[in-house]
Amino acid sequence: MANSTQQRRPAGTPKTVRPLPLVAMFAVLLAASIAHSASVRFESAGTYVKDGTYYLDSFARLSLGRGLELALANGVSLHFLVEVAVHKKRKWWIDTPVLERRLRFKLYYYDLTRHYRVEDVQTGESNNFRSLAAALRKLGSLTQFALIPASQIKNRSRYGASIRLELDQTRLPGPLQAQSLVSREWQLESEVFRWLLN
Amino acid sequence: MVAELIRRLANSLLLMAALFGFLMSALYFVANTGEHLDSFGRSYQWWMFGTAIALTIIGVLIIASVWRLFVDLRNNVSGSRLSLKLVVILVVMALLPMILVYSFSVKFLRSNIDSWFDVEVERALDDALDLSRDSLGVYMRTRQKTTIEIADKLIDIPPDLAVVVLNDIGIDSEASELTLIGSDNRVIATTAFVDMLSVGPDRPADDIIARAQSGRDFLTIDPGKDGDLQVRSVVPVFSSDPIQGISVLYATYPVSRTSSKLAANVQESFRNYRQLAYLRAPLKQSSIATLTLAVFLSLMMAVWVAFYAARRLMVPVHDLVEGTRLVATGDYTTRLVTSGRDELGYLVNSFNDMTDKIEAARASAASSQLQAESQRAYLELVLSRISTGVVTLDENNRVRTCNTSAASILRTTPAQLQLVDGDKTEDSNLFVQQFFEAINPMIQGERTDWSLELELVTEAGRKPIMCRGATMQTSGQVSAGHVLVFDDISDVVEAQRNAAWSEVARRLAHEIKNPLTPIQLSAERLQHKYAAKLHGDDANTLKKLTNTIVQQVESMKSMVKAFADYATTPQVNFVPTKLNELITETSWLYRDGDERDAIVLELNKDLPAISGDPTRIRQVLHNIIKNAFETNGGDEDRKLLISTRVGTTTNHSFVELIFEDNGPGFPAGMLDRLFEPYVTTKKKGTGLGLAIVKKIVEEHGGMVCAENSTGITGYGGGRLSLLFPILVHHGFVPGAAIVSEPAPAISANEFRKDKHKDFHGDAA
Repeated sequence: MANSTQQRRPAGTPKTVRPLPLVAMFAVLLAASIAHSASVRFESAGTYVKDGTYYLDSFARLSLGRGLELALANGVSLHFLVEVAVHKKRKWWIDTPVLERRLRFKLYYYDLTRHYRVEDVQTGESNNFRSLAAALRKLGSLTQFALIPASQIKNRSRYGASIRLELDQTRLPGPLQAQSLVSREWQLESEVFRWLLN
Repeated sequence: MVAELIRRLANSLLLMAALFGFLMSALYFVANTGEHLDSFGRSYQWWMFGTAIALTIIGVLIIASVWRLFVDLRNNVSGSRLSLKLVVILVVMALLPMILVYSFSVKFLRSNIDSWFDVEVERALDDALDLSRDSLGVYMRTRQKTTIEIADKLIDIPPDLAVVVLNDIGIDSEASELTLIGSDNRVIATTAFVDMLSVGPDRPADDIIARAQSGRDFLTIDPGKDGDLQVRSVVPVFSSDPIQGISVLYATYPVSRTSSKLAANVQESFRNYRQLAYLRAPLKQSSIATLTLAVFLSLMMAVWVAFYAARRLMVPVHDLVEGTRLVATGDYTTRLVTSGRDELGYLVNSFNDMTDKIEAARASAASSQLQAESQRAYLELVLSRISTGVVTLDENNRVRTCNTSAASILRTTPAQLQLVDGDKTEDSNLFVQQFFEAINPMIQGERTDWSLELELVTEAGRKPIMCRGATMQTSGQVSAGHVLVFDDISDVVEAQRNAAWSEVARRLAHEIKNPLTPIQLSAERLQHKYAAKLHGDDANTLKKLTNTIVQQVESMKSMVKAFADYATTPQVNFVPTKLNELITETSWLYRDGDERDAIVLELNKDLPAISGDPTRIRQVLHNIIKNAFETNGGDEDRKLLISTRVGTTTNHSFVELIFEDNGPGFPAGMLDRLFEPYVTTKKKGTGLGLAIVKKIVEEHGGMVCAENSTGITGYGGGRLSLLFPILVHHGFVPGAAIVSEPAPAISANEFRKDKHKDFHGDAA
């Protein structure tokens, strides 16, 4: 094959697990999830105004964990949801949403060319990466994402923005759904990252 | 409240059908998700959530049912033990095949899923992927060579000419795009159709450019934006002038659409197989979980159905048990609701029929008892009303029952008579003692039917009794006691005596009257013939003797006439008679002479008429008045009070005629036989006066009684009462005579309740 050095061999066929009673299986999965759990955390997010538009730059550090990596290597597509929102803050009352955007990304492994692909489900645009880390970096970063016209924001200090990223469990294959309900291994969800518009 | 709600919910077929229906659908859904590799979105979570809730509800309801059964068992509720048996049997019946099917299903499921995976298929897919990669690799390396050749052509080409040269080369080559990037990382030339100012050409990442600038090639194949594969090649373009540095040539080559599609198919198949292999374990687990859920659900259904069926079946059983308990306590009005046409329904119907019949039988028995009671009361009434005494004795000779007449005849009360022991009569009165002494030999004798005439003797007199007895025998010929029926036959004896006297009188009259006239005539003839012939004392003696004969014969004639009057029964003509008028008229006759002012009348003006023969009643009045005055003799202060009044007993009204005088009264020893013939205290007299009075009064349906006046209310002498029934008018027909008849005769017994028949002797 090519002389690329960053080839990464996908994990082999999954280890055959002897079916155990349901309780035992859940116990094992729980233990596994504690040992090597998936995580996602926003390291930075911020907005800036350029040409009369608010743009968003954010970066989240993603770690899939062994279970998700194994699933990815074995042809399972992982769907991610990024939710971005702008709120108008109010005293003594809950914030009024001004904008709510939901972005969907799909991450999967392409065996033929040995690429990890990150696909924007809404636009259909995709990027290929030799390494999973690069794919995760791409997945966790938003650059120059046009958020909202600046004209809609009257008093900056009274507006806040938030972003969160999660693995869409409902898009997992059927057999994994039961596990995803009970196992933290399949639960990948960032905390909501908040900041003020400025 | 909550317990009641849970109980109702547990019994609700509709709710349970809905819950189990939902769970079946959920099961179907879960089974589908387990088998398919597609995702099902958020609905999976909702289904699972719903399933958990439904299972919880059913679980709670089943636990409630179990608890209720437990409580019923502890409280010994009827039907609970049978319910427990039924539930256990049904659950075990469901459980055994379920476990069998479950264990085999798990086994088959595992082997079935394992059988999907074949090493050969896996290897073939791996090989196919490798083949595709090799084929693409050959293509890539060919294109790499082409790129290197182009790069060689670009060595030392000045940047100004680079665009022209690159376009020339590009036209001849298969590259879809050629881009030359200078050592300063800027695009020197490109064949891409781009507006250099606004949109830059597609270029490799900076790290790849840096790699190439360091002399290392980069070759890759990846899917393009249109989904087709493209080969990207980055090679260094060396320069003979070291100062210029190394440029980079970036070339992209399209893979033919056919090859690209085939490769994509291989990729997809491989990926699907890999994914399936990876999901084998979760697939098995989720399938087994689904199966387990199905079995669990079936078990819950079985348990609930067992409870439901037990409850439904136990309702009639419970009703039957409760109904039986009620019947046992005597409540026969219980009717059960028929549950259906099955055997239990038949049983319930039979129970209802049975209680119907029991109630009917009970009602019939009660009616019979009532009838018997009324018959007994009727018999008692009859016995109490008859004048015959009836006494029953038990086998120990004790009095068992008696009527009032029996007590009255024996001069005691029914209560006292009932305490009498026939063998020990010491404590009883004289009558009772004599009575039982007389009949005991008959009772103890062998005869079952006997009759006995006996006389009870007391200081007051004698009382003749006619007694008949019979032994009561049961079917086994054992004596169950005796029945004694007895009558006071004083009246009968008296009537017999009167009849005998009448016969005597009639014969005397007949036999004596005939010779009297010849005797008298002879005496008169003697005197007539020999009186003239004799003189002196002889003549006087003859005259004296013949006169004596004639007088005595006259006397005998009058006596014979009196006998004849007593003995003959003249025709009596009953007409409505006013007693007061007869009394006034008769007493008028005694107004002159010695009897003047001696008779005092106190007559009731409203005295009703009686039915009587005035001639006979006049005779009665004459007899009594004469009797009264004869008794008083020549007393100057003699008085006779005649009064009338209306009297009543319990059943009759009557006219009472009372004579009271101021004489010496009746001798005590004669009161009993005062009205019998030839009983008199007078020296002269036939003794027939009061006998005739009694006879006439009895012909009128009345009665006579005599007593000595106390002197407080009367004159202190004898007192004679005559009772006559009041005339009863039955109707009046205009133009016809008044139809009338005497009222029923006054019974002596009835009257004796008020007055003792204490007659005293009075010479007629």
